[in-house]
Amino acid sequence: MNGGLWVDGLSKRYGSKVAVDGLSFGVGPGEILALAGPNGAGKTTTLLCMAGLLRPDAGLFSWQGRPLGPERARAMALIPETPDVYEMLTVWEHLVFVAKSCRLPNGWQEQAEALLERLAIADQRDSLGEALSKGMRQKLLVAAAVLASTPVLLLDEPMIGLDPRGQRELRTILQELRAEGRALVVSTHLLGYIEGLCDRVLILRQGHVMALDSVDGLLAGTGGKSLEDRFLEIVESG
Amino acid sequence: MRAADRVLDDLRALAYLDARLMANRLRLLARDPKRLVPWLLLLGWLAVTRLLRFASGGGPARPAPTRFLLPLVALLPGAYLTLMGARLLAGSRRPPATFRTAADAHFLIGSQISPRLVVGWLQVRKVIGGLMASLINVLVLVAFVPWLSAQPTHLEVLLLALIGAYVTLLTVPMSAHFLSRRIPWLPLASLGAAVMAVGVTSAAVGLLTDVGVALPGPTWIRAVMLHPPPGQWVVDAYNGQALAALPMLALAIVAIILTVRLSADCYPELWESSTRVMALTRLAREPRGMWVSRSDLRRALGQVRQRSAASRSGSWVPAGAWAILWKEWLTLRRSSTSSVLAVLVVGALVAGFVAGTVALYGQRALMSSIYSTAAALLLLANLYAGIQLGSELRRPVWWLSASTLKMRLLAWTVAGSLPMAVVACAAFGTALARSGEYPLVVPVLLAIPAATWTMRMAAVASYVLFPSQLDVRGPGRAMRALVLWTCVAPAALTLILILIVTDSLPGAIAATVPTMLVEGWLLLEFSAWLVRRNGLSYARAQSR
Repeated sequence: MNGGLWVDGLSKRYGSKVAVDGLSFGVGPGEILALAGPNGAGKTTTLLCMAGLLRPDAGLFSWQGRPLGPERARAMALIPETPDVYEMLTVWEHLVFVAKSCRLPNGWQEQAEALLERLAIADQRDSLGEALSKGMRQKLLVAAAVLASTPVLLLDEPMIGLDPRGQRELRTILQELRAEGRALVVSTHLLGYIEGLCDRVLILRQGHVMALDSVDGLLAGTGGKSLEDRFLEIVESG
Repeated sequence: MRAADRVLDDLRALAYLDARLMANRLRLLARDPKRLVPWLLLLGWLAVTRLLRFASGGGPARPAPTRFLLPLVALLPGAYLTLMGARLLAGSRRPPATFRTAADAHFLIGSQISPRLVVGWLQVRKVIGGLMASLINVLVLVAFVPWLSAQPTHLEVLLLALIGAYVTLLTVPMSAHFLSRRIPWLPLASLGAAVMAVGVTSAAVGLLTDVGVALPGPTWIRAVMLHPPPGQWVVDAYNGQALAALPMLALAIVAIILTVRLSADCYPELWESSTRVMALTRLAREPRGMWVSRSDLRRALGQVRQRSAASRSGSWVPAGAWAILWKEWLTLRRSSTSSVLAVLVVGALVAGFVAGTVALYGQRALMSSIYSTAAALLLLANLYAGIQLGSELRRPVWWLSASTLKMRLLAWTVAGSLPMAVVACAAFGTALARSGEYPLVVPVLLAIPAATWTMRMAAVASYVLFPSQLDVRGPGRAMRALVLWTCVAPAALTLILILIVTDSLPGAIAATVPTMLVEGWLLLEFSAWLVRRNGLSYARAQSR
């Protein structure tokens, strides 16, 4: 694959434990890839390596055919599972800092206002980070990542902590980002969420790729099995 | 956009971040002005001290506490070199934690700001933060320095030298780490170990010279060992040599420039070490606090190793609240903490032997300073212990117990203070036995467990009074420290009164034991009453 994001031969060990072993995959522009797998499969490690927070033992990254170096975090925004925000910044100040540090052109304010409205946190605009619930923090990080306009978005368990309305809004926002041509990688345990949103699924087990296909492709020829049954079959095989 | 404009924009963004963080913190403080009370008390005390000194014409009379600090000045160059070596060694293995919070890491790493600028900014922030946090120490220095110095002191020069020394210590590990990554064959770890060895030798030479032991060897080697730079530059500045601060400041600037120049592609390592320290900080608030083991840290970092242990039958376990003692004992046994405790006990025995030897040579001032430092360390360790109560209260098992809250608190504080009492007994018992002060041994060995338990109770009481962790580095900690120091007063007063009446130190020390136990019991009643009233609100404050 030349276009989009390409990860080639990603490996990471913690001491003697192999977390990710020779992982290769691509995500095209305008595509959502789900990273699925049991606990300890290497999903978060993969995302942290991609975002430049962990140094991989091996592996290359490229975007649209151009190699991404150590500063690849500038091209990939990560929304971690634990939504950490500055306790002493207000919601709006977070967005101001993102706009300034990402050198966004004028006009970002309107987009930021609209994002806060859509994620239903506009009324928390002047609340300090320390006063936000986990779901609110999650929404704030989503707003910040969308505002930063990076071509790749990495989301680690984004639905955890969101209320039903927040989940639906996030799903819509992700679909819009896909339509804008961004590449999205979503790590999740929620198989129902994968079915309704993601274009392809990468199933990991102990750092190895067990399957990489579209949902339809995974279910083809299984005699009407559910995605949950198919998932368990794949991770329990071999 | 020109590169210079980009840098300016980036600096503006970073300045915005820190300015808003500071402004919001101050806004919170303004909403709750009583948080300023401890600072005002401290400043008031300093002002009174300065006024009294001014009224006495700045006379040469030194207060007793500063007299026994003077011998420690001879140890400073060696101690500083030891610290430098340790920092060099640590930096060659792992960079220091630079990101203050996970949010800091995510927002700064994901920004378009150059890593060099981010690292430089974080270093500056760390230095300023450190200087602000040690503002109390600087103010205390301002209050005492004129009495401490043997010669007319240039306070400004001394402060500059101290700032240079502080910045150098802070920056060296980062420079060392970046250098070791760039030039892997550079033996920085060995260099750090060698510098540490020279520092320890220098401190030992300083101590022995202070004690009056005649050392063999050429005079020039002794002179070099007694006054090694860069610590000697601080001593020179302390003695009023105006130019002494310059090399110290130059060293600090070189360390900063080196760090920033070498800091490209450094985020993964900085992130890793920062998450490690964040996990450690989290764990330090857990019940075991300062006794955090490697396996605890691995678990907190998500690097769990499968471990198992044979379950105890529990047939001899004490019933009711005292089962907490058994639980704490099992926790201690099943972690590497027990080996840390063993090392601490051996270290305490050695330290006690050294202190006893110093006393034998008649250096009572130096011995007093060693004893006071040990006592102050015990007190400080307890200051932090109170915070751990919050996470204990958060555990459902705590609330399932059938015994009263008071008894559970009693068992918990006894269990927490026992390891510290063992270490302190080893140190003080050995020191007294070595120095031949046999009549003091029994009273001191009785007083130490009582004192450690009472201090822990005082720490718990100060925590239940000020449960929030938000300002652990600022006024909240100052307030808890104030409560803790106040709690020392009854025992200290008893000691002084009995000493005046009976003129017997062993008797006076023995008399403090019931005083401390009564005080501890009253603090226990108070803490249990307050926790019963507020219940889980402490746990909630802790979890924030």
